[in-house]
Amino acid sequence: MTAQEHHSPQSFWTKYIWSQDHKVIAIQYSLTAIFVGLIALVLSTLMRLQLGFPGSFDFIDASAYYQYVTMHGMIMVVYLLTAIFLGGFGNYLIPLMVGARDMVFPFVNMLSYWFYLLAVVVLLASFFVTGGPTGAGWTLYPPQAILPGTPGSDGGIILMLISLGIFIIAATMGGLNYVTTVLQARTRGMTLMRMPLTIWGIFMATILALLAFPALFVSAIMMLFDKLLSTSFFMPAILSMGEQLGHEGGSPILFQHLFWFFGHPEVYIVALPAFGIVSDLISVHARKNIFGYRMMVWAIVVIGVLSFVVWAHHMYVSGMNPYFGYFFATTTLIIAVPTAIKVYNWVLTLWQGNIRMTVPMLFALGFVSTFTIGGLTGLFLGNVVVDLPLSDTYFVVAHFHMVMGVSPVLVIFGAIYHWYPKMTGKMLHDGLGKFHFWTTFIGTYTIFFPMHYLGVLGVPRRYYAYENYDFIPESAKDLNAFITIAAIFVALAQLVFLFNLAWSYFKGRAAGSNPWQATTLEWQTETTPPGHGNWGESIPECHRWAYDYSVPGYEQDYLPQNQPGEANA
Amino acid sequence: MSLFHSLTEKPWLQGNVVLPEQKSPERVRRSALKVLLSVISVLFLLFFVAFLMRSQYPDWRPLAEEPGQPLYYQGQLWLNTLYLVLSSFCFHWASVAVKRNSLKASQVGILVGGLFAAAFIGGQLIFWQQLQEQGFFVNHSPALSFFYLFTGLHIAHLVGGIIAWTMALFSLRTDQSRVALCATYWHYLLVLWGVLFALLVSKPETYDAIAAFCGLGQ
Repeated sequence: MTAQEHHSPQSFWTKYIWSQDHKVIAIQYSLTAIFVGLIALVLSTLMRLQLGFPGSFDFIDASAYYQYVTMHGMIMVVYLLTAIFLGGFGNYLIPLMVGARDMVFPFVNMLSYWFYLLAVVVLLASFFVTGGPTGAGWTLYPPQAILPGTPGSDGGIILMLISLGIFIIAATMGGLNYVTTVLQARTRGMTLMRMPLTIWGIFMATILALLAFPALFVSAIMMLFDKLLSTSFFMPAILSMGEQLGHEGGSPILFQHLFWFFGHPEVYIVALPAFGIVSDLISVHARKNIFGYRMMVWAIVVIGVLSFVVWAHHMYVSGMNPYFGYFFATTTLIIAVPTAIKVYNWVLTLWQGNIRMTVPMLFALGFVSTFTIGGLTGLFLGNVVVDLPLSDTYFVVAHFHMVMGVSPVLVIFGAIYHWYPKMTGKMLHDGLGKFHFWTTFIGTYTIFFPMHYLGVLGVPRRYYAYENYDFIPESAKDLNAFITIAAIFVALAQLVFLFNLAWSYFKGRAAGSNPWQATTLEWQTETTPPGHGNWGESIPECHRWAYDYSVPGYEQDYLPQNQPGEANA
Repeated sequence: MSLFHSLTEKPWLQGNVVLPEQKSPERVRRSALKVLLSVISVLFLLFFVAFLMRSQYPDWRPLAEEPGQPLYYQGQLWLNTLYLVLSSFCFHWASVAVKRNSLKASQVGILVGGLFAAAFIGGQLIFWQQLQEQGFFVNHSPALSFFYLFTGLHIAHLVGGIIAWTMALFSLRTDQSRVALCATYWHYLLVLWGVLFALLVSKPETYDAIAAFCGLGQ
């Protein structure tokens, strides 16, 4: 019996439920995030039913619609995307890719998952309290979020704020582990600049999460005080339902600053892991070293830093000082530079590569397309004078869904198709995967591309119904019906993905230890899936960077990171 | 190796680079503690910014400028501060004792340090009670709301520290490395309390000056 086997968990409970193994925790995080994400997907379909066929469904009244909007947004951004990138992929990949046996604090890592699950349970509990979940919009702006008239302004908003607080505690416990593991538990030879870009992306995103989530925590606590203890942090003197409330002098704009100080880095908390993962997918499946590795790392760091000084571009319409607008427009446009460098480098990595059109590669290419489109519309909205007329229209909905909805989700799918063989030992079905990709890729374009046009027409967002607005042409209503049908189609296509996950687990082709012929350490484990402790008797040493593909003078077209010998000459 | 040097490596050109053996548990824990303190600092920094922004609104009433204001009499708060100073000192003493391999002294230091920390928490709760007896509830004024919020969060962090303290106390015979980490955390919370205390009892002109310096003035 090896030392690792001796210490490995023996019972079902310690192995699969109260597990401290980063791989099990990663799968727990991922399954929970996918479950809650499916709920958000159903909510978005319900919203689309109302928008495409207004008045046809009696159970969708205005309150329900706003509750769907709010819960869809919050779940997707925080409870799905953040959780699956950091808690899911971060947990699974960091120790394996840096050559560690586990996270540095396995017990805290386990607590992180259970706090996350508790946050999800509290959030979902709000569907069952009187008044239902909050319908304040995912930004939860006061004063409306906690006043009567807004759906879920009692139990709903309270549970939302408590849930966010618990989530942030979970994210902090996880984040401490991820950062410390990357800094202190890398194997011999794994210098920072030998780390795969996936780890760089997750590492930087974790730092952003650790520094940005406190702003959400601060605003959630202060709003809870305003709601429960009648303080006036954010609440001004206000008449509600003809009655003077006890609040006085608070500042709703203060909440907006705090919220967006979290909210904009949040975009990059989601985007940076996606950037890193896509870099690795493209390099592996194009059999070529990543173009401009150092610049890719620097771009991740620079984007991370800049993401803290752009938040007020979400607040151009709040009446801020024009000089502030000028400052934030400038920083916002500057952030396009490192981002564009990354896009160029992905394309240049593909250039003259030996491209294998595998399912992960298709999703990676899909991401480059949707991210570029979404990024370009960001340049429009980053300018104050263009943003002002477009701010409350579907143009913004189209922009952020392309850039931080569809794009990261495509990466998540690509990453699952890429690493599922390592997690389970089985390949996902290729044909079903390709069907899933094309329906999702073309389908999401048909949903969100027309929304740009709706936005330019001036169709306002956040409206429950569009009757009796003369400026909205009849054709916009037809387009909305078309978008709804496309959305239903895309939502149903995800069932194929779920079926593939389940079917392949039992019936899938055996993957072997390194089906993609990749260089990084997670593919060099003794067993697949890796056992407890990851590496058997001794941990691997790192002898080269992560991108030795198609190196001249070698028979095989990849050199694993743990293979000794000189790097490419 | 400096960060700049690390980030300018050309990994595709290098031969074998062998790092030292994996880091000791103490170094890993210290690294995690630094990250944790950074997160707590950001949390309170954001609260300070919120406090300063809110202080610039016309309904702001200071807490300690004249008799009748909630924090005008600060005796209890100064006593609590003394408890925390003594607590921090005891942890420092315990930490030094560990370095000198004096297990008994470190045991006494850490135990007494924990008791003084408990006294601080008790003293803060007594002061809350005194305020409430005088009718100064959490929604009395924005500044007082911040007082309850700041002191409550500070206590919450100290309670978290007491969990670490318990672990350090029970593992003292086998692993003394936690004592120094506890000491660092306690010193940090002492400094944090000092900043909070100073901020809460400052004059409006001070807030105006800081706010103006930060570009937050009205």
